[in-house]
Amino acid sequence: MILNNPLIRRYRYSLMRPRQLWIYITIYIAVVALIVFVNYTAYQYQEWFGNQIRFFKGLYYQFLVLQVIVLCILAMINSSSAIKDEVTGKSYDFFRMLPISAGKKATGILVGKNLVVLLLAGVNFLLLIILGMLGRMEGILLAHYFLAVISAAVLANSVALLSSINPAKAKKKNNIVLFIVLGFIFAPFVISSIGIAIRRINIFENVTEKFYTIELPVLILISLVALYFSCWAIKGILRRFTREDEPLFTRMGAYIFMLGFEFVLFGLFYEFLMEGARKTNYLYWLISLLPVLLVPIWSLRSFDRYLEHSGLIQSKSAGNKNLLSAFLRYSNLLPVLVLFAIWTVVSVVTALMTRQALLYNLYYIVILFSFYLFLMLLLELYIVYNPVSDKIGLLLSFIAIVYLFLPLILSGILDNKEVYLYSLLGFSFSMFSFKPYPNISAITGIWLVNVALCIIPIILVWKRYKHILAARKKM
Amino acid sequence: MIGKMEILEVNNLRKEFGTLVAVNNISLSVEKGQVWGLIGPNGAGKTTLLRMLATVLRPTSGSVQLLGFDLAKEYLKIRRHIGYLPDFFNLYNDLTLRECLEFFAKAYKVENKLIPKRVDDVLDYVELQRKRDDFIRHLSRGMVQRMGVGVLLVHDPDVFLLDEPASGLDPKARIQLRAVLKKLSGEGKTIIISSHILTELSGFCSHIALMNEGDIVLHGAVNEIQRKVFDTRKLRISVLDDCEEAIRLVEEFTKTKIETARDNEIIVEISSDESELAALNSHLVAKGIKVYSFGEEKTDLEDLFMKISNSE
Repeated sequence: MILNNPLIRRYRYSLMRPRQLWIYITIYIAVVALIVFVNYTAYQYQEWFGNQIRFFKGLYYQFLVLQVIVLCILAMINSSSAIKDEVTGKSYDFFRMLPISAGKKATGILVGKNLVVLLLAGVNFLLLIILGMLGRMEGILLAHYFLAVISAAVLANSVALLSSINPAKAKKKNNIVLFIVLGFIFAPFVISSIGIAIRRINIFENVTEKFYTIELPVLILISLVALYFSCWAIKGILRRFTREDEPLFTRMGAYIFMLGFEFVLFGLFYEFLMEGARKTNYLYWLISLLPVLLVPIWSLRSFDRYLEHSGLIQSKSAGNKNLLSAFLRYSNLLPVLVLFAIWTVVSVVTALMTRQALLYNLYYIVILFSFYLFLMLLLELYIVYNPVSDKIGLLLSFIAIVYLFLPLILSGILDNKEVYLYSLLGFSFSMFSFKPYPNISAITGIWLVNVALCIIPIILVWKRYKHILAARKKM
Repeated sequence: MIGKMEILEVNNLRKEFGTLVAVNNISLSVEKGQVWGLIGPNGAGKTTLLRMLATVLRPTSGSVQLLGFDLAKEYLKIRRHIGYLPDFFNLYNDLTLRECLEFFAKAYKVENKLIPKRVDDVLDYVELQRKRDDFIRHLSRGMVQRMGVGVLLVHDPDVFLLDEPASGLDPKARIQLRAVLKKLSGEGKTIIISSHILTELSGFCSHIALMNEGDIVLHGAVNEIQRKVFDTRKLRISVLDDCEEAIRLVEEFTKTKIETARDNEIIVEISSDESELAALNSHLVAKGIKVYSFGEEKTDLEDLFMKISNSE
């Protein structure tokens, strides 16, 4: 029984006291009354809706938006503040020690912290059913809308909770950066949804989209995609609540997420890729490159884990044989390579599907890899040198910014379009405009510069790995 | 292997934070019913050690068996059996004391029908019954500390891990908290309590572990350590009159050294066992000295800590 959850009981005590509950209910009633009043005035005196059915239908959509605000925005704010409240309230140690399952903790927060929101959403839900019926809307359409709103709410809230489970950062600031990053990764889905909504203002009635070759009502498609990513977010929450000091993704989890992301994105792009347009191919490439950049961050092993593991491999190994290779396999560099390899395979497939010149596309992949490798080496430098200097992140961020933007600035100053290509951003955008393909020697130059830039970080990371192993040996 | 009564076995436990070694290959064994005081200056590694034992901090290396569970693998099981009071904590300010205890009782799977009685018992134990319907935000710091202990009592843990429970409290609150902790130790609970204020631990710790710079410098039963560290005992002898004669007689006795003598009271250092003490007493009485008080001065943890620290 969900209400038997101790966390829900705890939030019921604190949130459902009559003296504060009546305030929320009053605000909700006022908002509802205001919407109805404004619409009724427009209907009665300005004849905006034409007839009563359209009036109720119009009201339905406005209450649907209200439902989205309540379930996705208000609830998301609540969900993302739960852990922060525990940390700033200095009760987080008690919370993490609670001997209840991670699933119960997640449910307890997602439901308990949103008890008031769910109460209001429940009332709103009843109003939506009544308005839908009065607006003569089809039952199946109403069901699709509810599914879409609920799946969006589940996604928003689970991602909000997941991104907030970082006690070290909870004290310092909000999770705006993480939200931006997550927003960035889900942007394609959101943008396409909005695009569809604007293009077909009849909203989603009888609108279908293809996933691979399967034609689905667009609301169902959006819901399924949202639920798919919700599952990952919930899995992440469970992991955070059970293995707090581990990275969000296991190695295998990172690869499966990457493959799943590619599968979903490929399915959404399939119809357009089959049209064979080169720009669609590169658009797909760049969007699918996002998890290759982000998943390594979410699966980063910390310096502490390196220390633990180096001790472990030394205790298991009799001699010094293969210590470094065992350590390299454990290091963050391995998933970086594997994730890029997965992306490469998918990219080659799409290049073939869109009938692009394979050789040139392989060149692009090699160059993109050189950009990627340098950025990932900066990330690894941060991991291994952060214990030595906690300000190393500032320096490395500065280097990354210079690396990404300096060629763009120089290109403008020198009025030279080739310099522009030496930035990952410049190169990515140029892929759309190369006609037909760029000079091979020019892009080889980019590759050589990136390889040269990687040499120093590789040496520094290598030295640090050896230092960790040597330090363990002395212990 | 863990012995029959051993509740905690720590082997080569180590924690590093980057380049800092906070706990350096510590080994320790705690038996059921023992009360261990972790003493040492700030930064000695007490909190890090307790946080590792409480499963909220992952060790860099080493192993811990707590109640037969492996800390690295079975930390979720361990959490059911321990009560950990962090050094800086607060409780849910938006709950009343009763609601807070009910929440923890529910979370620790206390049967529903037993919860009201358990809550009452705990509130009585920590002497906060009259505040049961007050919000936690209205409690004083001392009351919150006692309530913290109360929260741990709800699920009747096998091991208590208390990190500086009295820090920041005024003397009255400290005495009240100490009374609660003494009650716990009197009931045979296994407790590991850290403090750098040694008077806090005096009187109810059966064992101590002295920590410094991540190491356990010395550990064992308080009496044994006292004997080990102090090779002499301190006697306070009070006589009615003829103090000078008493001093002479004491000096005659072997293995004694007068530390002070004032107002018919003699403090004597003696490196002997109990029979020698009795012999000295008899000797004085036999020689006609009117002894009205003869007793060993107890060295407290503070003396012990200072002695050990000075010899370091």
